[in-house]
Amino acid sequence: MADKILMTVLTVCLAIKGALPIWVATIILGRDVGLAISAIYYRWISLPPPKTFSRYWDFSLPSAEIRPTTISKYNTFLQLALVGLTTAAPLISVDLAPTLTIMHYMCDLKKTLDAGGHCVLEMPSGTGKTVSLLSLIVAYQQHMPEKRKLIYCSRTMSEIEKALVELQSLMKYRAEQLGYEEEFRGLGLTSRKNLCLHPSVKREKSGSIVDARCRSLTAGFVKEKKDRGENVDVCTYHDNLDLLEPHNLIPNGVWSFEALLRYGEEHKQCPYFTARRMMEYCNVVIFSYHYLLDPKIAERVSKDFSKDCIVVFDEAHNIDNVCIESLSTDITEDSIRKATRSAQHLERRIAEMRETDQEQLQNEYEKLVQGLRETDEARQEDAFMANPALPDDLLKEAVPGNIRRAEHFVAFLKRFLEYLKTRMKVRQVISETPPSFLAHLKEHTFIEKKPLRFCAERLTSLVRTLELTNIEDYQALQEVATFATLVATYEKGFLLILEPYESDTAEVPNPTLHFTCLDAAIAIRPVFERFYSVIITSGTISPLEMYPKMLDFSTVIQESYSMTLARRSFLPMIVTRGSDQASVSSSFQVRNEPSVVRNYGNLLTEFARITPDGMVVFFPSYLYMESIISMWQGMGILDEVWKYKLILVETPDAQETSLALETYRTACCNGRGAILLCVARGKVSEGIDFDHQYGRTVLCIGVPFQYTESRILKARLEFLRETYRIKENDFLSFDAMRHAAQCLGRVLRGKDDYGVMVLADRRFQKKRTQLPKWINQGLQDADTNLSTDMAVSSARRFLKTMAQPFRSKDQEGISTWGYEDLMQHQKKMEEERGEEPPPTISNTRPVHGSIAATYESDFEDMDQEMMELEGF
Amino acid sequence: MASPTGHTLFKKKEGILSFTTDHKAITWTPISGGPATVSLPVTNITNLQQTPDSSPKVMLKIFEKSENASDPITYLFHFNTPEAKAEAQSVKDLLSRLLADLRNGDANVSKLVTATSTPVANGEGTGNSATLVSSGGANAQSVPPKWFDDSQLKMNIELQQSLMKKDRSLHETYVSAMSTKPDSMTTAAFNSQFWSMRINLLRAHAIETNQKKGAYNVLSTVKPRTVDGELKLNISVEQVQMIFAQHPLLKRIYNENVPRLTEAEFWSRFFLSKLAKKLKGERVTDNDPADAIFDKYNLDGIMQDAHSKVTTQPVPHIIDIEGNEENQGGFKGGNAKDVEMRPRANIPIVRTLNSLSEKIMANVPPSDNTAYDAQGLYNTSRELTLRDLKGDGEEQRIMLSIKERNNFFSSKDSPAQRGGDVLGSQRPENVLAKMRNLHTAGPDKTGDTRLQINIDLDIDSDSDNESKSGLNATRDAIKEAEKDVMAGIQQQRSQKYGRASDDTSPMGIPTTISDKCALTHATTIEFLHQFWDGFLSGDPDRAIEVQYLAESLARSMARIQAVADEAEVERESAIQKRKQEIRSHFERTGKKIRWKPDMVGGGRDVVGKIMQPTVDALRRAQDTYSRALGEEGVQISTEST
Repeated sequence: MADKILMTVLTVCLAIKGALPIWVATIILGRDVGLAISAIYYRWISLPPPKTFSRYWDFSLPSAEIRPTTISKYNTFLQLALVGLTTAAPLISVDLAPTLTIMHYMCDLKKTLDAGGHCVLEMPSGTGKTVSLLSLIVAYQQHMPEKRKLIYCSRTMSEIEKALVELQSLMKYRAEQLGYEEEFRGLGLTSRKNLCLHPSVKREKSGSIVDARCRSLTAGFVKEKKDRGENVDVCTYHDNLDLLEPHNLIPNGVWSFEALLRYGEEHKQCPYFTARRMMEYCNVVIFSYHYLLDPKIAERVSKDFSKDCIVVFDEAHNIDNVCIESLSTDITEDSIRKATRSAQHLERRIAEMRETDQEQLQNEYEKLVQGLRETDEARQEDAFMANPALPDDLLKEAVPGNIRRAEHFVAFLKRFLEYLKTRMKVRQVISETPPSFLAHLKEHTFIEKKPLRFCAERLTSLVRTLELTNIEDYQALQEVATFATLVATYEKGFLLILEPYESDTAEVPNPTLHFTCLDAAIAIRPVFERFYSVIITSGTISPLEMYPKMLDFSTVIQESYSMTLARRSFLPMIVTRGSDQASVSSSFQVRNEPSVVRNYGNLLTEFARITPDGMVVFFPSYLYMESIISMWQGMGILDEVWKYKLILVETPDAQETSLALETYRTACCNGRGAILLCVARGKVSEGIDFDHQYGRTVLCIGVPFQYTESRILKARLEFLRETYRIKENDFLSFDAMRHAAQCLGRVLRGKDDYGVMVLADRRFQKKRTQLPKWINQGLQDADTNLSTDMAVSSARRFLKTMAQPFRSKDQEGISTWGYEDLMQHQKKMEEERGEEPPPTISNTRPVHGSIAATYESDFEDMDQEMMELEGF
Repeated sequence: MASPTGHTLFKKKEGILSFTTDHKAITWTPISGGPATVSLPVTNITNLQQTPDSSPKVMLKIFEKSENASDPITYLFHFNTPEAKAEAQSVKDLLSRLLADLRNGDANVSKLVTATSTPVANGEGTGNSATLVSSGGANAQSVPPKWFDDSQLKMNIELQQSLMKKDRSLHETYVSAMSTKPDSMTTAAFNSQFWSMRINLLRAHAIETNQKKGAYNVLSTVKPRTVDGELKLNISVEQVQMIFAQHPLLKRIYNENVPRLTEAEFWSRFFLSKLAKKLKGERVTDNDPADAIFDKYNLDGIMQDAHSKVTTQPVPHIIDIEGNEENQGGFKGGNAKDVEMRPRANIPIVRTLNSLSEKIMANVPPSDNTAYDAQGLYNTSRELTLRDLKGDGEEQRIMLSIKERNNFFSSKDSPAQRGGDVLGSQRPENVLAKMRNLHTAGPDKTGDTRLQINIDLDIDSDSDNESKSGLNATRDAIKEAEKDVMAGIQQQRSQKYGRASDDTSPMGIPTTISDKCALTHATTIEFLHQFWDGFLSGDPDRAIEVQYLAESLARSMARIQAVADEAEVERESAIQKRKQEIRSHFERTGKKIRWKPDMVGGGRDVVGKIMQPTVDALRRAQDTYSRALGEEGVQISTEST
């Protein structure tokens, strides 16, 4: 009888928890109920008459006797075993299943590559995502005869540098294992500013000035002039490149930026152009998204990549924003003013030119008439500006007649500028679609759509003809031309918003004309169409289904992986109340209330007290950070924090922030300890790791929502709802949570690392499910609604446990697998598969048309890759 | 970074200042040299020229500062001009100013003190400010590594005493050793002997006690209170020093004003002034009362200068935020950020926080050193490797290589080798299990704890080529050795764990006696230490010393004897007591208690057993010594043998 009760209770519990399928529970319970009913029935019919109720319960009366049959005993045993196992399953599975995270990740990657499709993968940060990605793809690349090139895109230079260094050590490992060095070249590309060696140019603070000055030193016509014996400045670093073989500017190997700069310095050759020109000869190219997504750059840098390149977008949680950025632009009153001035400049130059060198202008005109745009292709890498529209949207025809003559074109530009100026005078917010803008434009100025589309291209040609060197003067004009081309090219998915005032309260007008792209899919579509394997991956890219929706593509695999750890090495917590039980939130209504600010301040002080070394604090926006810091200073909270930590703050100035970050890291290493206050969408949250001592606690103050009053955002939300059926709130909270998760993910790197993650906002409680799987798994139910003091005591306990020695032996077989463990697992998996046909890997292979490798060799590959992984 | 530019600058200097020969080897000598230079009353140029060791340093400092801002050469001029402009004075004044600069530069180590502000600040500041500053800012570098010098440690009696105060047992050892040292040995000699053995302890202690609280944000800790409408301040000397170090401007104001103002007034006015607010980063409103002294200074310039160094510092690529910003391929697209994300231009508090933290960390070498390492690259990979997946570190131990190993064994296939085979055939678990049984059984079974029996080591099985008798001999020897070893182990165990798991009374010795034993042991070992140290040094000068030490060894022996005697007495008394008890018990109850005096532990024998190794060591030392003496043909002058 007791066993029945036990069974029933367990079954019901498990079924409610969802551990046991409902139908199984029904069978188990149903059988018992059935038995009971039949027992009652049998008792009734077998009761010797008279059949009365009282006699029914009189057990002295003989009746049918029940003896458990053997089979029912087995049945009970099996039931118990099932229920027992199910109960234990959560505990066991921690030890068994997720260890394979990396292997699953790699298997899925491989499937994607074989199938030649796109995929979205989320893998916990700090688990060696980059290196597993690289090792698999490189192994794949080297194994396959066609040697597909890998284009690896990352977000920031820091990440690119990290990836390059990882690749470096990977290749070293491969050379060790294979016994010979493979013919392999890996290069990264970043802006001129970061790769310049020219003694005076590299000192420039602004990147665009570096670009402009570099062009003025390296442009093709400058060299021609030099050859003609004119006295012009050139860059020796650049010119030295011409002395080398064009396909062998730099030896084989993987070159990090650091190494590239050094090599450049030693051999007196320009690292930027070395990397740029070697791009097509590389096996692995690592650069920023912009080089693929932004048509202005992509056209020149990424044009020559073949279709079978493997494209990886790492840290891609932000990719939609990059897409949108690449097709959006702003025009301000200031830029119009400057553009007008440069237009006048141009006019003067043309007049001068006409006097001295009529032929040149005529030449250009002739060329334009014939539509010979290819003639200058050779020099294109140094072009002044590129067409901002996507390649497919470019018109493949000659420049229209009315802007062919240089003077006509400048007049045309000036007319357009005048028109913009009048538009700017309007003192109310206007939002309109490009067609309506064009219609209005035509009505007033008779400017047609088609010449407008050629604006950018025509300007480039003109600048080249005039051999202008001080290009930075024409930047504003270039912006306007970009704007003109974009507005004339795209109709759908874009919006023009004119905001006369900076904010609602501002008195002085500062009109800005936003040309904003609403659809992230537009910019990335060519990438998906052109390359057949695109891998989008990040540590925090939940919910996964959002990305294919937003970017409008289909995936072969989308998967989120969990994390295996031998100990609970991170402690996520949601703090919803202060110590005084008043709820904390950064929502717009309450964020500046003293009680909320004070509660946040207390949270900060408490964690500053208990956290060893470094602590990172993220705020939803600059504005809020600044106001809250000022308030804290007034309340004396910062004085309190000073006792435990140094305080450093992210500032608008990137250099200053770099320095602050360096100080922060020094203080963390030194044992002094520091707090870094930064912004969740700011510079620091992207690409900078706060692993180990650099971040033992990360505190996310408030949900990092975007500024919902922004008109651009509103327009985008509306667009998303109408086009992709994504609800406004869904998108907003998805966007906020990916940034929050990104902040949290910064603190963990490797299995020996540990950190506390605090989400301090009442609203996080409901958004918990939107966190990446791996963080959500670590978040215990008890930790989702804490007050400050509870959080602190729990964090203190956690930090104490973490301070215990932790040997790598302890995690062997759990979170670290040796070769044997892997082989064992493989055997097990194969047994499980039994007679099933080998997995889809071999089936999908013919898609490529190469049936070179068999299934076995695939697995050999895998083993090798896993070994590589273990090597790190 | 200054040294290569030294020569070019040299000529410029020469031209202007007309002192010539002060550029030689420019080195970063310890800072202790800096204040010394400063304290010199520099009256004229020749004086400086005569101190070539310090004056090049002056120049270096200046160079460095100027280099921070821009090109070294132009900046040198730049540096000189404001001075000339300020007061086209004699070279003497110029030099004193330069020296004062040096002090500032040294003290704040960082290049925080800006080029423009320092000359003025230090024009007035003489020795007094310099000392203040150097004590505040530069503790990281100014600490002379005195704990790296053994002799200094040995001489530092204060340190030794504080260590002994902390470590009771060391103190006891010291005292007892001191009391029993041979009279012929001077205290000083003894001391130096004693501590030379413990240099490491001393050093650790010195470092420990010299740990100081690092720099912190002082202004935030000073809390002026208003009592009865009057401002009260609690501000310590350290705080003042720290304030000066962190805010050079304040030091300058202090120098200018303090003789006129009283110290207290100075500070209370400061904390009320706008300047204090500015320095703290608080927002200054127009309502705040302006202070005539403090608020005439403008902070902005200083702040800006502090930030000008930003440009010169390279940051590793992986944390280069600026580089990240520029990583868009030269085209910045996108719409402007919304209002919330648009950083406001000037938030004083943010800058203050950063610059303060930077100042505090300024004297710590940055952890992200961009300097190239041995392989010529900044070690990015070090930052990136997942440390948990790293293999074991390479072992750093020194291999012990024994030459002519064969000499140790009679033949190639020596017993040891074959023993290995035999042992190899044993199942380790079994053996271990047996051993464990043996030990848990405790010393009561001491009788037949013969390892061979226990582990069934059958030597006969593989002895083919050795004669039976020889084998027997070996076997006996092995047995003997084994017995010995086992006895040793047992004794050790009983000492360690006690018979009744009582730590304080091993082998039944009362606590007092065991403590005494421990102490005697410690002192004896101490003397043995010293003896061997002296004896093996082979230094003829130390012969006398060794003789004393040998004498003390003999005394140690006597001491052990004394302890043993005492233990015996103790035991006797215990036995007596017990007997008495039994007797009284018998008288009271008429029952006899079976008891044997053996059941009382302790006594001479036990002490002897415990101290046996020590005694052996002593004997050996004495034997060696007397033999050595015999060989030398010298008579043992003392009574020891």
